[in-house]
Amino acid sequence: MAILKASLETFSINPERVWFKFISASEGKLFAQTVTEMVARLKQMGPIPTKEIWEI
Amino acid sequence: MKTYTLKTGSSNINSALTSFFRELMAGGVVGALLVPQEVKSKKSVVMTLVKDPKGLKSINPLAPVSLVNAARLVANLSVTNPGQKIGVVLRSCEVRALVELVKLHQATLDDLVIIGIDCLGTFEPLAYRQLVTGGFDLERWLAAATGGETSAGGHDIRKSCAMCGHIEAEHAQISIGWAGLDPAAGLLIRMDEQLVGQLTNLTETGENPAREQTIGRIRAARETYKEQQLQEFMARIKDLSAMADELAGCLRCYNCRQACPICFCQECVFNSQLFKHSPEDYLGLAGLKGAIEMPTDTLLFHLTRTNHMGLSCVGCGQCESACPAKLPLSLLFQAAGKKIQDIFGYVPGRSIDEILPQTTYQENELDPR
Repeated sequence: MAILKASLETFSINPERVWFKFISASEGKLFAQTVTEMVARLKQMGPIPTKEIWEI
Repeated sequence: MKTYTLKTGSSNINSALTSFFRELMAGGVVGALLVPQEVKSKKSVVMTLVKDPKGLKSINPLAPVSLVNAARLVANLSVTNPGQKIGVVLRSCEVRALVELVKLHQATLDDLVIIGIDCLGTFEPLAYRQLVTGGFDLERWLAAATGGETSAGGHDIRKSCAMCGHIEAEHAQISIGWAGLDPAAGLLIRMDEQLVGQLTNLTETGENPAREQTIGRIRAARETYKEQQLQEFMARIKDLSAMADELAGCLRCYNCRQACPICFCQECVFNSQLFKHSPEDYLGLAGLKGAIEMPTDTLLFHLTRTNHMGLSCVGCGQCESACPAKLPLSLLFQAAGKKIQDIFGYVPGRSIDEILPQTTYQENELDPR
C-alpha cells in the first residue's frame, strides 16, 4: 500500500484517492459508512487531473 | 578472502583472464562459466555459457558494453538446481539485480560462484560498435576511466552508468578488480584461499589503499551527480501534465519491461484482456476527454511498472537503452524507486537477508512523512 501511494505521488496523483481499510464481513454498517465517506471525499477532491490531458 | 595480483605481464588482460578462467574450470571450482566474449568482428561482446575450457576463445569481460542485464540469464541457469557449480561473471548492477531475483524466487545462489568485475560504466551497444570500428584500445580506456575520463571517440558511457557509484561488484566469491590500478601491470583478485590451490600466476598482495581511495573518489562524485540529476528530474515532473509530457513519446513497445531484470512476471497484466479495448471503449474515452493519445494506457503502464519494480530497481538503465523513443526511464525509475525504497530504508541488492518490504507489513509504513 505504501508502495502504491508513493508511486501515485511520483505521478502527482493524490494518494488519498486510494483507501485501504480493514472491514470485517460482519461490519456492514461500517462498510457502507466508509464508502459514503470515500465518495464524499472524492467529490470534494474533484476529477482526477488525467481528465485534462490526452494521456491515460 | 585474500587479495592476490594476477599478472598480466607482456600478455594482454584477456589472455591472462582466459588462463585464470581455464584453471578455475580445470580445477573444478566451476563446471561451467557464464562470461562475456567478443564476436568475430569484435563489434559486440555477448554473454556466453562455456562448458568446455576450449570454449573460452575470445573473452572480454572488461569491455565497456552490456547488451543485457545478465541477472535474467543467471536466473534461467539457476531457477532450478543446475546440478553443478556455475561461475557467473557479473558487474555490480547484475549482481544486485540477481540478489533481488533470488528474493523474488526467480533464481538461487546455491550453485553459483559469483565472479564480480569492476565496472566504471558501459557504452550503448551502437556507440561501442562505432568505437570498435574506429579502433578501440581497451587498456587505454580502462586507464583513462580510472583517471575520471570515460568518454572516447565522441561517445560517453550511458547516463545510468555515469550516475552509478557501484564500482566493485558486491556479493562476489571471486572479485576481479582493475579500477584504480594500472590494468596492464596486473589485476587484483580477491578470493577465498581454499579456491586458490590450483591457480598459477597469482601472487598474494595486501589491500591497495590507493585503489580504495580512487574508487571512493569516483563513487562520491557519481553519487553527487546522481543526486543532482534525480532532483532536477523530480522538479521537471512537478505535476501530472509534466509527467505525461515526459512520457508522451512512449510507443508501448514494452522494450523497457523486456529489458528490465526485475520485471519477471510470466503473464504481464498489460498483455491481458484488460488492455484489449474495443473501438467503443476508445471512442467513449475520447468523447469523455475530448481527445486521447493513441496508443492509450502509456501513463498507466509506467505507473504500474513503477509500482511493481520501483522497490527493486537497481538502476542498471537497461530500460532506457532499450527504449526506441529514448524516454528518460532510468531517471524515472530511479527517482520513483528511491522514493519507495526510502519509506522502508530498503536498498535493492544490498543484502540477501534483507526482507522484501512487499512480503511483510511494517506498522509505520503509511505514516505521514
